[in-house]
Amino acid sequence: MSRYHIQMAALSILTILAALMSLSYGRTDIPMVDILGAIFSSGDDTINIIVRELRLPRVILGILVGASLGLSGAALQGVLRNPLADPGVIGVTASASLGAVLAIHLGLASLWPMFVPVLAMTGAMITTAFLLYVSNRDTSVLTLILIGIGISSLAVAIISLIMNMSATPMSIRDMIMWMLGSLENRTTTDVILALPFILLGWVAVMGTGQGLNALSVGEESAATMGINIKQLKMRVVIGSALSVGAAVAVCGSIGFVGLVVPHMVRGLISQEPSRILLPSAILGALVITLADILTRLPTPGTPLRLGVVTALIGAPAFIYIILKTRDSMR
Amino acid sequence: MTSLIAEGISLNIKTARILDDVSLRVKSGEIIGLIGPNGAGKSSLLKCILGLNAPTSGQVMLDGIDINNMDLKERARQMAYAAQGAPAHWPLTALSTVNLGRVPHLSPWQEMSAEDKLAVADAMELADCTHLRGRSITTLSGGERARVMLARVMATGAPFILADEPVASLDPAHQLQVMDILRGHAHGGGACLVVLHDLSLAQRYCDRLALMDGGKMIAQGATSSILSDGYLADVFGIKVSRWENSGQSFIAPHKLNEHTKNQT
Repeated sequence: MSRYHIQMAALSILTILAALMSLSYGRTDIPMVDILGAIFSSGDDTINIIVRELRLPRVILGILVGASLGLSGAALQGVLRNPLADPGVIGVTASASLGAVLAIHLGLASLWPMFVPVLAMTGAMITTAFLLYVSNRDTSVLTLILIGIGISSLAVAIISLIMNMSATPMSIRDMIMWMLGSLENRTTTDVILALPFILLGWVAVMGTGQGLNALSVGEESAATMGINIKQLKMRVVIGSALSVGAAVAVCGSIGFVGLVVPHMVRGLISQEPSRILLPSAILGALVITLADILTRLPTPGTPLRLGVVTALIGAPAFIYIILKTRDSMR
Repeated sequence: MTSLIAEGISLNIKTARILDDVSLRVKSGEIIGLIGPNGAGKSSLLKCILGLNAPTSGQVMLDGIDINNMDLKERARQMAYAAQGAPAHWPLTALSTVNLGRVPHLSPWQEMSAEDKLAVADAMELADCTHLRGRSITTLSGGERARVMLARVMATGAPFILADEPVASLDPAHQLQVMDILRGHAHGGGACLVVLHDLSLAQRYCDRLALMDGGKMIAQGATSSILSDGYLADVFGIKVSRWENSGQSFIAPHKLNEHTKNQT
């Protein structure tokens, strides 16, 4: 077993431990020993129901969302060769949020709650299609990033417009709470809705490691190594849109994980783009699971939102990492 | 005998004619120098041959097969490219960078075999960068980085090597070393097409020269016939001094008009 495999195993074990902790911690503390029994038994005493129907979907969703954010952040940074890239940068997060806000504003959410994720994924898809159209005509990375920033700004502007026009304070509150991101009260239905898109996205992104490595020495050199650059970009952009769009759809926007996690992996494990993908996925899952435990700390008033926790920890961490690594990134 | 043939290549970018009906043939066993002033279209021709630019008309044949009909990785196993300037976007180690030379031989999930690792070690030895293997490429000097990039190209084991100004950032000793490597590769059964600005190196190391200007192929042939006073004056606007030293020919350029001024 190589050093890399041992590191992957260690990260996975830590994530499983964090997930068990998350399952046991809450309004009713359930001893860890009872958790496994509750998951695999079919009895319906209170503990079984709390674990299986309330906490398990939340933990699974946290792992799926965290892994999606970490993985697509790593892949986007690789393909755009920009350490500041993440799903937020190319506009996927903001347009997914716009979809969700529209669903709330138009009252569709009260007709059928699933309209929120459905419209969020539609927003992510429209943006992705547009980005693909642009990147097929102009392969420049800078163009892709600038277009992404433009789309993000536009989506945020429309969200602000909707809030501005919104008649009731209640729906503004709903929108804001949704945008802050959370795993609270998620059910198996949310997991089932997001899972296929998330898995499809992972499949698209996971096989791109070799191409991303080749891109380290520039697009033209990579192309002369037999890498299909257009296909590589499509896989990363579509894969990120599917997995992050689905994640944002069910959990709201959760920032900084996609940005910071790949940097942590570069410091801890490897600089090689192909060796950043899988560790970023696992570390992303671990970070979200731990952050979700933090949201359940007793606070006065409204419970903490997940997106707030990740941003509060992520932003300073990001600044620290940039200051520490700027010499080698030049 | 393997051959790489560019036939009637024209390239328009918007309304500009970058390449105008250029043909070139590279056979195994020879090293060809591609010379010409800045903007002559040398790099564009290289990129058309590599399939990076799609020519407006004309075709590139590798062993009788149109390169557009070849599998990308198969093509990459036949032709390797040493780009100008050698960018590096992540602080990879020199070893990881040279490992990239084996990408054309591996499927996306495949790990490197002992054979791949041997090819990488040999190429690093050849390009004199084995001692840099653990260093991050972003901390290397321009010359060290150029040698690491050459090692990456050599590690592919491709018969055809296309190099765009491979000696541009190197000190004199390493310039000679890189040219020795490229000539050794050609004379060992491979073939090289090298963009060069140093006419002395072109004369000493190349078997044939191809002279370009304004997107056109002006002339191809033996080094002595291409480096004639007439071509150098017409295309480069220079005059040269020539001398021999222990059987090697050297040339050094002067401005053409300095002399014409003196004469009039």
